[in-house]
Amino acid sequence: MRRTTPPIMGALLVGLLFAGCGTEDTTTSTETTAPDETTVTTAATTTTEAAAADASCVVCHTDQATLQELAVEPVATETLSEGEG
Amino acid sequence: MPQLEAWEQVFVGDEAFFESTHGKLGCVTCHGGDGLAGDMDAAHTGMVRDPDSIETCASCHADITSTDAMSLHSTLEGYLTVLAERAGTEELSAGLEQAFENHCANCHTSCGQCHVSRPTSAGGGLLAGHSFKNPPPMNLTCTGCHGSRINDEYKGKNQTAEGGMYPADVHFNPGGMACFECHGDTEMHGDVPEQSHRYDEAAVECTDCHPEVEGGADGNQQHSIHSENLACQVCHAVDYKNCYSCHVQTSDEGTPYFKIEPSEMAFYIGKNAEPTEQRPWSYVVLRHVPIDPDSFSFYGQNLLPEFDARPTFAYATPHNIQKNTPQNASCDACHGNEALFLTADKVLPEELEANRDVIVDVLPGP
Repeated sequence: MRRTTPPIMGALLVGLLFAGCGTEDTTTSTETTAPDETTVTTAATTTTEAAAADASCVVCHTDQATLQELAVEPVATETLSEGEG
Repeated sequence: MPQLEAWEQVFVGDEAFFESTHGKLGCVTCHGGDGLAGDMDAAHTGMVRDPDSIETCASCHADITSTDAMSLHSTLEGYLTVLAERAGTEELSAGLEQAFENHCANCHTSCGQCHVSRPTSAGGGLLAGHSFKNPPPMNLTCTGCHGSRINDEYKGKNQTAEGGMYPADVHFNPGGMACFECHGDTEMHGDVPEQSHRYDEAAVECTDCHPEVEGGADGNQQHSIHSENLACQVCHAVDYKNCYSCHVQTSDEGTPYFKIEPSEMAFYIGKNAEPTEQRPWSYVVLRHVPIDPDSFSFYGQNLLPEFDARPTFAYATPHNIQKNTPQNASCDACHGNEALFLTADKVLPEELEANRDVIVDVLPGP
């Protein structure tokens, strides 16, 4: 039976995740004018949104100790196959 | 290859991944699930461990996924082709369909199963902390599946009868070449003329890198005499595994398994049953494949009524190439040397008909 995850360290961890996500300039125009602030803001918002939506995933799957605690090893079944596959 | 522990398989240990293009997409974008849930079961609800190539990767890589969907690694069409031919029907019977699903379909790949994780059929698990690997590491992907024959031949892991080791393919040692250096992304992603079998259209030929061999342009007399009549492997391959009599079934609990006879290290020169423009040779190397008229008897009687439609000694390209081999040591090392050729006495009586087009009736004289 699977165990539930330890309580997530709420805003602190989420905040740390956001701090690691720099803004991203996705402007690809060859023009020499400055990047469109709206494009940069939109890209940054999208990246931030993606990071925010994955907080639970990242917290667990980057923590070896947590994974070791939660991982369920498959039940070893007797190998019925005979010979070299 | 050693299996990863359950936690290792899903440990996203590469911090740089999150700054990569794929990492910035976020987990849920590709895998689904609930990335904000506080409970593992809830977080994994609706999650897809191995995202579908078309539904996920195609949003950015449509030029690749459009052909990859038709690649042999995706469709496993090669298996279906040979089964259909021996079954004598284009559509497989229900029994063969079930057998295919239970015992063959597991080798189906996805984008992720080469570029992100080990193939599921080889145990699965992230390759390198969820980093996307291009090209994939051959030891964890290619040879994870293509292990008992190709891997062992290529890396020199087959043992001789005397207890020594067969040499590695020269392309591996000393060549240091990985699989993708011959079998590149064009072939892997199905961007080749429509294939129903891996030998339908040669995605790679020896002469792609060794054009000087053709017609003996390199000044080698043997190439001048033989290059049009013999496949390269006839002179430059050594013993390889031949497999016999595989039978498949499921346990009472529904677990698929197989039983196969011990393999045999041997070398067989035979006739080319299906010469093509790319493979016009009269003589090629043949490998016994482990098909048996009763291989699928668990799933029904007489499922392969046209068993003899294909040889059991199949055209082969052993990945154990050597410059100097026993058979190319001298003219007489091959000519008249019956031991090298697939003669009728080496074929099981019940398989003589299937191999009628590849058995060598008259040996090349000394």
